[in-house]
Amino acid sequence: MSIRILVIDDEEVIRKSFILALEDTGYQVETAASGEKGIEKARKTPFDLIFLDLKMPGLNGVETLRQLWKLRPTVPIYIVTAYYEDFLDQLQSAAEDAISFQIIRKPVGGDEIRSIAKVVSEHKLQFSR
Amino acid sequence: MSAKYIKILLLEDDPAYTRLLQKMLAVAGRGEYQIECVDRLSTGLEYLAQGEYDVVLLDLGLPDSQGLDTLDKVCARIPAVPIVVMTGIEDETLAVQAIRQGAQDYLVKGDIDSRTLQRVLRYAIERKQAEDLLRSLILSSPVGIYIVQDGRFKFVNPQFQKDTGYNENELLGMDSLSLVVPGDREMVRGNAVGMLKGERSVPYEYRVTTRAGDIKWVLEIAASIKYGGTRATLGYFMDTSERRKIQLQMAKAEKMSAVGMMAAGVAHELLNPMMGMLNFAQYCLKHTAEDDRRYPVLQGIERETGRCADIVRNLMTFSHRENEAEEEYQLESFTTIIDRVVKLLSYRIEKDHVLLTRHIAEGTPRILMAVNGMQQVLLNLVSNALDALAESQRKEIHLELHREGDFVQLTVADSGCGIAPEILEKIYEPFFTTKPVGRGTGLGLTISRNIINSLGGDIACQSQPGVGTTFTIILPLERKGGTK
Repeated sequence: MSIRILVIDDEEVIRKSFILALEDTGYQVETAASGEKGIEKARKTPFDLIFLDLKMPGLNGVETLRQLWKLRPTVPIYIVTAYYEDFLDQLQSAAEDAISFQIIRKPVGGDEIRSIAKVVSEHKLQFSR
Repeated sequence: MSAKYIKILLLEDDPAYTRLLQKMLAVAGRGEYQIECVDRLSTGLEYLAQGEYDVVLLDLGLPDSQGLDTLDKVCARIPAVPIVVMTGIEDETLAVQAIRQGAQDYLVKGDIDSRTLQRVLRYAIERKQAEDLLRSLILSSPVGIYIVQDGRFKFVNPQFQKDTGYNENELLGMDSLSLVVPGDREMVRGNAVGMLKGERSVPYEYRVTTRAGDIKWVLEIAASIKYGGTRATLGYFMDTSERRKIQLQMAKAEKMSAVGMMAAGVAHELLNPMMGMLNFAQYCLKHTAEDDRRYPVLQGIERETGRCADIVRNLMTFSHRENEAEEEYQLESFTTIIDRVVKLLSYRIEKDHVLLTRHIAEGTPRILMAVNGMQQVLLNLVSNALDALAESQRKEIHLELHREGDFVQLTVADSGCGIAPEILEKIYEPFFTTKPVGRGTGLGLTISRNIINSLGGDIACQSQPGVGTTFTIILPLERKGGTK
């Protein structure tokens, strides 16, 4: 089943990585270079899966996470980060507020990206039946 | 003086003479002197044991003791009280000898008047005090003191003997520079000369070789004095080896924490581009035929990028912030951890034909530990052991676990190439590795030790080149400072 994926990361290399990894999979990939832009896109499009960076100028990952969750609390959000310890307290308080998210560690390779997308897609398929 | 009057003990067997002295002091002092008289040494010693006297007047010829022997016995009983001996006119040589053996002064019987008696007593007391002060300054000094004349030791105090390991007899007459390690001799000579000429006032540091052959760092300051009428050098000398060691350790700790901070920052910066490289290479791989000769090259890029990421992750663990934030402490048995690590390495163990044995003593309790951290430690040690066995004929690794008092002790022993003694002390330093480029990051043991220390334990290494290496870890059964 085709799903719509949003990648929010201020580094172009990371956005490009996701685009390349997901090319020819049939999934639609959109990217945003900041938390603000990502929220803007998520407002317009109901994404099925979001990959989100933590350390970004402007709105950081956890703040973005909270807003995305307000928009659509059922969308799986994967925080893709090299180093999340600086955000540990914020992440913990988000978790206490029942905001669900997963953390994956950079560098994330193509196989891992595709397998996450596949799981979400199968899950969606299951519920759309 | 302690009291208002001077308290004297007189040991004299001639009653007429006793009376004479009493009279002299009574006339002179008008209550300034209190005198007690005994006529035997045995009684005198009893008096001395009980009362406090400012000075002892001692006739060397008593019914129960004769000559210098009498003095020795009194000296031994009251080393802090000044003694004035009394001798006959024909015995002045004896009197001089008595002074060499610790008496403060002497009086010649029949040649005493009241004023001489008073003066001798007072001087004896004053001189004794001055001498005692000087003696304790020198003998109890925590600083080594020596006097050198014509390049040879003329005097050494106990601390100097302690610091150098040589006794007084060995040192006196010894060439003073022979203690200095050869490489420092020129510098010491130069500094000492500068100091004696008044051109230098800052203490200088150099190394000495002790009697046991150890090298010690000392800090020295010297002054020019006259000794026995001729020029000599007075030196003060302090062992600074311990202090230097601590300073070095602190410098090392600072270096390591600086490395840690830098590592975390750099690691974060590097992982983004690495993720790009990884995915770009994978993308190219996907679009390259497997029989294309560029295919294995692209695989190389993918693999090497992965390795970079591993190094960076190691660095981040090393920076330790990750550990502290992430690791939960839990009760775990070492057996479980050993099982897991052996399983992880089973491929290599079999491929290299290594015989891995283990002995786990019964009843070894589970302990509170950071499980992932501990697993990494063991993984590092066993991987290192496997590396060390690469060239060995006998390929054996033995794991041993038992309880040792309040600790659990784990040893990892291999029959590998061993570690040269000069390298042994560097093995925990960050980025120190003997492995070929690309095989080790030089952080494995640094990380391991950090983890062990954070658990309140310690790690030690014994090694003999060509025979093997044994790492010993001890961990407390209960973690000090609560149950975090």
